Amino acid sequence: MNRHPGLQGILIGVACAVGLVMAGWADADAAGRRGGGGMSRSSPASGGGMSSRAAPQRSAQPSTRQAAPTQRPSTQTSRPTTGTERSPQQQGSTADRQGDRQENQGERQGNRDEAREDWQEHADDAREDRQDYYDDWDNHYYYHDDDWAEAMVVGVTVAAVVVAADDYDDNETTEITNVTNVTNVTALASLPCEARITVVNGQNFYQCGSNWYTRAYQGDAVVYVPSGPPPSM
Amino acid sequence: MIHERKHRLVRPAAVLAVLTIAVAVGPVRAAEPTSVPEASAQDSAGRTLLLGMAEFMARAPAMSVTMRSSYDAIQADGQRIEFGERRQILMQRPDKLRVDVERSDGERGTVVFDGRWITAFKPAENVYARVEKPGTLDQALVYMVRDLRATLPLARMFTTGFPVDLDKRATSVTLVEECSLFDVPTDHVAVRSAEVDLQIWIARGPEPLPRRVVITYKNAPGEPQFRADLTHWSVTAKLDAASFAFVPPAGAEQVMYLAPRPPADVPAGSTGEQR
Repeated sequence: MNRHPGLQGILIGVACAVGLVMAGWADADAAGRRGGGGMSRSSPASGGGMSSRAAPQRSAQPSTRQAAPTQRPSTQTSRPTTGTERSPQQQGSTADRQGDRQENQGERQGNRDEAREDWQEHADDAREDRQDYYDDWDNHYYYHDDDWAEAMVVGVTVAAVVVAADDYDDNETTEITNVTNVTNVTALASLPCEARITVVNGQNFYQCGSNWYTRAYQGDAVVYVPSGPPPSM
Repeated sequence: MIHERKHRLVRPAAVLAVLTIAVAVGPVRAAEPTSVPEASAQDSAGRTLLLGMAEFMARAPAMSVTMRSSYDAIQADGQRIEFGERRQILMQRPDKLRVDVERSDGERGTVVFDGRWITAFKPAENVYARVEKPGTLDQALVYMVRDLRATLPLARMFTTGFPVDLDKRATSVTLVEECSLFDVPTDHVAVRSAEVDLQIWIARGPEPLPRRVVITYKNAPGEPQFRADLTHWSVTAKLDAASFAFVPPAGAEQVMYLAPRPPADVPAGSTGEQR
């Protein structure tokens, strides 16, 4: 009956392809409405800043610059150690030793100078960083997402118990009440589970298994930070 | 007499030679002296307009404006995606600010500075956070942007240090043209600094306020842009004090405010100060 089986196959294939594309558009549209569509909103341009200096790629410590070894052919010349007669060679050796001392002094001085230069460079770098920090306060290019690795609480907390991440003890619990300087608070953009919510004194506590979380404000977003259980529990 | 005769003979030859040279190099000579002063005048006129705008904004006791902005987000694969935002900005010197924002994905937020407290509010979550930061509007803006990492585009334009800052950063300023596409005639001014290229369309007239700003981050990968159209300006309106008083809605939850730790080299307690 079908005189063109190949053509039918092509038409079915085209129809499937069109369907897949349309489904993709629908998904993309839905994703767009949800927000982001999988695209990152992050950009150095998002803040509309008028400064845009790249973040410094400097170590926190002074540079460990190695001084190039000085070529000193005269310092290892052989010197006779016996005999009282001062041969011209010995006299030359004395001159060599004098030269050695002067060169050693010069080397030490050079090392001191280089160390001073290193610290001067470090101080200059630090001063530049501080100056950049002050001058380029609207520089979003300078800022990085990993800056939040060390967050601190600057706003008032309301009877919250926050688990502060700690290098030595991940389970350390820190009581915070009107504290303005807690480091290493680890924030989550979303909860890791469908949390059970307990409200205590107007504050929401979110429970995921044995872990508890409260909300916090970070940048322009509401995030979740690990906490202990509500005060009454 | 001999001298006069020689002089008389030499003069036509000299004039002819000068004319020949003048004709030969005329176009070059003519271009040089006219182009340089024109460029300088252009630059000078542009800088005057730019700083006039900045001075006007710095002196304004109060301002309100609607900012419809967009920016490029360069994706990992290099694709350029535009996101948008709309902000209603109210500010009253020396120490009041309110910004209501709606993002292109519908997310809303509000930031209020009442002279003592900075409050950020998310209506969708009915959550707010507050941090005590008494001081001027300038100090609050710096603290919000740098220390709290709040997104307040063109924040620098709303500080009193804007004229000095702009003059210092602008390595070249060019008056591009007069533009007639806005509600009022504007001067299109192009500014270059070491870090960004900036274009501003400044309204002509007694209120030289920016109608449009485009910033190109030429040092950033993909050279993304920020663009903002600024409408509904008012610098004379007495703003309602209630606009700067945050009253938590019923059931709103107060939460902590987090800030990234400042660089180790920055002395403690020095944040939020503008220099």
